Amino acid sequence: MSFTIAVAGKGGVGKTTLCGLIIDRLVKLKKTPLLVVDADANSNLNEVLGVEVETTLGSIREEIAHSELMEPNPIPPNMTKPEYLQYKFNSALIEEDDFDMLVMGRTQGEGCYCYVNGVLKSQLAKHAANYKYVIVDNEAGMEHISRGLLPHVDVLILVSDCSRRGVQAAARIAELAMELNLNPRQMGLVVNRAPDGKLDEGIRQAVEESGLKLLGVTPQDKAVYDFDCMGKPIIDIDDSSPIKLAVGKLVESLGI
Amino acid sequence: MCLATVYNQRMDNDRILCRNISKIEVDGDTIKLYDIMGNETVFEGRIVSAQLDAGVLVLAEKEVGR
Repeated sequence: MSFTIAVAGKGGVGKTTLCGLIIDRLVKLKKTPLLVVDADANSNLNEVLGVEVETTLGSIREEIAHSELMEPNPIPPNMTKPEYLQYKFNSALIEEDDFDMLVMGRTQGEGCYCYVNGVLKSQLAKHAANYKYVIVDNEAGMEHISRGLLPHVDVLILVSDCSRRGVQAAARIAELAMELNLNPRQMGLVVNRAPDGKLDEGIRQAVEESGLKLLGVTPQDKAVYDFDCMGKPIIDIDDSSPIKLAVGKLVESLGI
Repeated sequence: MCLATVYNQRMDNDRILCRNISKIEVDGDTIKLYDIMGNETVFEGRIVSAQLDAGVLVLAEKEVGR
């Protein structure tokens, strides 16, 4: 069974950036083969990693929905519809040198994301066994956890920024994970974007009140801002930068 | 959730007929259930209940002789 790391938290706390930096660290530690999953409908983990995404599960779903109305039917006569769907969804797996990547994406127009969530769940169940490590960048909030996207999680990293609301949101996700018997081997909080990499007394108190284990504190690093402004992959930040050193320490503490 | 788990007779785990159902067609006693991967399940019977907020559909088999 693969070792699964899930990253979750409130919107805007830096989950995707942190997830990208953890992936970078795992690759450098040769924790491969690694499957990277962007489970956010508003996908942008690829930008952090510098990966070109041509297709997502959501875009394939759209293509198939439209193809059903087309004449002649694009499904080859020697294929059943389920075979054709599986063939198309298989093409969503992006193969990079250091890892493979699956991007959920979204469907167009009105409606919920149940369908793409369901497809992602089935594709994850299918592909995960081929990888030693799987890391999932969840969408903001609790929905992926409540939907049971992941059959098992070894490490659940709850990300917060330096705000009480962020810490409280992380604590609620932890409660939900417990209610759903997700039972990760490790679950804890990472406080991201801390000024000078240090926690203010008020936030430290909020962390204590939450009952969450503090896995790490990652600093506000101008390099992240600069790289983002320049449109450069954040994983290309120098390995000696404060954020990369802090993430290295975090990954080491997880004992992966 | 918009995708349904379909149960036969009652909502027990050992009564699950299929999961991730995104489309249902009813024609008399024939109920066709399609999942997100395009698989089709045909069931002879009727719909007993649909709890849409929980994504649950309960069916009952057609009684023999009816």
